[in-house]
Amino acid sequence: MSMEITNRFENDVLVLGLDGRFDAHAAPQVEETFTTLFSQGATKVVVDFSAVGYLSSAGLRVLLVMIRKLKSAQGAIVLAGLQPHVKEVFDISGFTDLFTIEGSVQEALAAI
Amino acid sequence: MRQEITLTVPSSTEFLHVVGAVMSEMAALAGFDDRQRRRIELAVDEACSNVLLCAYQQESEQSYRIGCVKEASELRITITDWGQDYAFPAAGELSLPAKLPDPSSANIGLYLIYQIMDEVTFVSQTQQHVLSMRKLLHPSDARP
Amino acid sequence: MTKEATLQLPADTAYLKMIGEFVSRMAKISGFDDLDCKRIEVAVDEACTNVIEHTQRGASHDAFSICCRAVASGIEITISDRGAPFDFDSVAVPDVSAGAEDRPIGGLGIFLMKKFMDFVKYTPGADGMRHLTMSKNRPAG
Repeated sequence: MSMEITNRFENDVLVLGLDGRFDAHAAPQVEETFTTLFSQGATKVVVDFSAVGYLSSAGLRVLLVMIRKLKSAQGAIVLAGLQPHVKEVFDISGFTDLFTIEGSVQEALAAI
Repeated sequence: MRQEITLTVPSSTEFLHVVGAVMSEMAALAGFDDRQRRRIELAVDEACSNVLLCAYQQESEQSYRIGCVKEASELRITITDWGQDYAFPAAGELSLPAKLPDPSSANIGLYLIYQIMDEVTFVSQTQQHVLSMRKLLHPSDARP
Repeated sequence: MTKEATLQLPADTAYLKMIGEFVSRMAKISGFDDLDCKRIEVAVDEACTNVIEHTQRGASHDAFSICCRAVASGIEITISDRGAPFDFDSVAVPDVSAGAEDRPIGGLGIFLMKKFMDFVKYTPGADGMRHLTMSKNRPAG
């Protein structure tokens, strides 16, 4: 698989760890994992991007689905550890303004 | 959909790592574990290096083609060149590198191909040479 | 010397990683730094994702190809597939300042292609193939 997804809870916050390429192949996997956990009641989510070396618009689409669902459930999402290339794709797509972005998972947990 | 790729590259060593990266990824898609992936990449690299050496002899302006088909439990790789005619020794004609008094690197490369692949055939026609290799996916070599 | 390499492969997202390896290595050979290699990789990934999604909707059934050429000015890439012609230039530019609720899901792919490459052109071929050609110049110095 092009991406490994881990999940754990820090109190009531879901920490989603992504490792690999966030492209159109990985996107359905990430969306499905999130949707399952969301339906089980996870409304606060930290996404750990530190091991994501590559992002395309398919990944952005999933993030948009996530933020909409979470907002509609009065939840929150914070992203952590964006690598420079990933940050650039966020910047030019205008996604930097849509999301709270922190340097590390620890900072993200403090911010959420 | 047929799981087949074709890669055409210039006859220059500069592109060997491109071939290697693509083949390694194809081996992963076929289900081989990391160790077999590296071995398959090595066998293809040796086969391509042999093409550059024998068929093109440092002539980097030509191109050659690597084809790969993924079946349920095997990978079939063909390397086609249109360079000068050359011989590709059968497995029995190659000595173990350790036994060679003066091991030529080309022979070690071919020896490795035979060691790694399950089947190796070479067909030489006028100005077209096709090396076909099969690698079976045994359960012990599969990615966990 | 000829520095042209072509990869032909099935229209399946499982191959996107292979495409990335192929394109970023060809970009490196063309003299781009790591960040530009990633940009070129994204642009090609977006174009190929479009081809794959198009194919999976049943619009075509063939493999498609990616041709990379290292040229004096940088890199030229042509992605060719067998599909119905479409009006590339009429694709709406997404509003990248809209809020999460107002944003259309999708439409970013072509936007990213144009951002990351210097030139992107779609040509419906007379041969029933369609070609998306893009190029990027190496930064001066």
